[in-house]
Amino acid sequence: MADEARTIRVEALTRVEGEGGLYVRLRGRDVEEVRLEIYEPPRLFEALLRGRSMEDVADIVARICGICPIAYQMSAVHAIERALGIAVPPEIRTLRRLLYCGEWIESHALHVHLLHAPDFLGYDSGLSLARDHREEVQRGLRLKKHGNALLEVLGGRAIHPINVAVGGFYRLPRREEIAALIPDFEWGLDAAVATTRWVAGFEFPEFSRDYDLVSLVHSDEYPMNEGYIASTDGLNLDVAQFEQEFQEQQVPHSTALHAVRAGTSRPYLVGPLARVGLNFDKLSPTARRLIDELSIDWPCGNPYQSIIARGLELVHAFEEALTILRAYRQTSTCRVKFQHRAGTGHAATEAPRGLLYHRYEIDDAGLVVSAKIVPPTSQNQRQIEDDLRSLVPVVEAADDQRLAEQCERLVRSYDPCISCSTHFLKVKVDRV
Amino acid sequence: MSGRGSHLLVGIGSPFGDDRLGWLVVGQIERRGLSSAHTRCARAPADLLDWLEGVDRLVVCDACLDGGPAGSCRRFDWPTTSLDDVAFCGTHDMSLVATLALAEQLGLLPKQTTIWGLSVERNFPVVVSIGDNRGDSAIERDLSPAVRSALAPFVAVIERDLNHA
Repeated sequence: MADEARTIRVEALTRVEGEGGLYVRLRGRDVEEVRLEIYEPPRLFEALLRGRSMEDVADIVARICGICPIAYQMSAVHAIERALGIAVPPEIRTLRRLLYCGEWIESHALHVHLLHAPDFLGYDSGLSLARDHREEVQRGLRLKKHGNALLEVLGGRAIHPINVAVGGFYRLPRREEIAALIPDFEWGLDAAVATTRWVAGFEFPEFSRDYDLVSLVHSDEYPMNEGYIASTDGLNLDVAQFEQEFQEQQVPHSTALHAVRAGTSRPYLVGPLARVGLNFDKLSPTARRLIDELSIDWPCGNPYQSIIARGLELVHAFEEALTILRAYRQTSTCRVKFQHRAGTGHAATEAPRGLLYHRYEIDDAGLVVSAKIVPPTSQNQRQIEDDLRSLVPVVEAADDQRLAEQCERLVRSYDPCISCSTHFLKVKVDRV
Repeated sequence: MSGRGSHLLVGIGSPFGDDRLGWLVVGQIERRGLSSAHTRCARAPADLLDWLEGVDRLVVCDACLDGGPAGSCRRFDWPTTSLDDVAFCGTHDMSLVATLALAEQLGLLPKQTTIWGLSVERNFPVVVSIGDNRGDSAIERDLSPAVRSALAPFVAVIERDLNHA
């Protein structure tokens, strides 16, 4: 008898950043179709920005995401500054790294402890995990709170910060505001180490991919705001050439554009696994010692072990933030003066979920002529589908519910921006 | 935190329009000395998790969207499934319901927890005014008419709840 077709459908619940679902159709062990369905309504931000003052851009694009607004602000101001030929002083550059540390901390702490860890410990949600793992969950909440506190001090508020400006900041924090954060960040560094050791002890599925890892690489620092675009296949690209190397494609089942390498049409992976894989030698000293201790080979191709990469980046972010906090002296210049001029600027920075590319064309009155924004989650969509095609034949013997859970778990390891809670997906299985 | 006792009143809000409601309630109860409960203003529900140690009664007030007419008042005693249909006015981070559920799982939630919600209008334009040191009456002008009218009775009912529960 011919194999019957099975359809695994995972429907999504609405969340702040959008909706996502999953459709898998297989016949026997053969996967006929995989669709990561993103229903996220068209955001229209690129069109919304046209005609707006380039000084409004950072505050507008921050609204794209409540979890990683800093990433959008950073890519935006860097691109606009390149268009205008603005060079910010080292003190501003350092504070921008500090701000990014806050965002990585709050985003990674949430995902590691409440969204991803339950998958490894047999819980169906962060809530049920909290009942039996109070210490770890409370540690995660406290780590996240310290990330938020840094965003409040430097960004003006934790959600959609309002202090990032073209040329610098609207206001610099006072020395005492910064110093007050130091004790919590000293605790945070130790706690992040404990978290990384905790997650490294999880049991990981034996599933590894030969990823084309893509991230920024910088000659002497772990990448956040600057660098060239590198990949495991030897790419070494100026950010301004992003659109020549990476192509966006529309697919019928997603309102977010997929991205592939232009020459090969192959998917690629951005995010913590890619960043650590391409930059592990630039991590902070404590994170590098942890790498040695944990005996994991980097680059790592196991998507589930992205939780370890996030742990390492938590350690790095706390350690780098502490260095900056301790050395902080308020300077007199919070923002570089500049003249309007027509131009085009490109920038890529490393959002918690991976490389985030922006391009802006500005006219001589300082108005946006065109904008292009390529977020990390949309870049990873094709890779997620590719992973699922490899995973499903391995786990197809499971019943439909278990199979759907395995698929969800793999998607969650990417920390896609469509997931606001650990088990956000309702599962429906239709047998054809 | 101000006040004494093991009762805690938390107002959740932001500086914008009707969403400021929770802060206004706390401010009025604090300044007018209407209760000896500790008082706190939170920007995000998750802030609560840091304040629950030693608290044996928690009262939370927040603006909410529950489909009812703007200015109508609702009380929920935790645990309750009635909250499932109510959207409190935060759109990011952990929701109030998720926060309370998490606090319960962590063993932090007081035995007595009450949530007071005041329905607001979804489409009332948000007024962004500068300066938190404006008087209450100036700040209240940013509220929608229905919520402005309901503020005083809302404060009174929460005050009664705090003092006579």
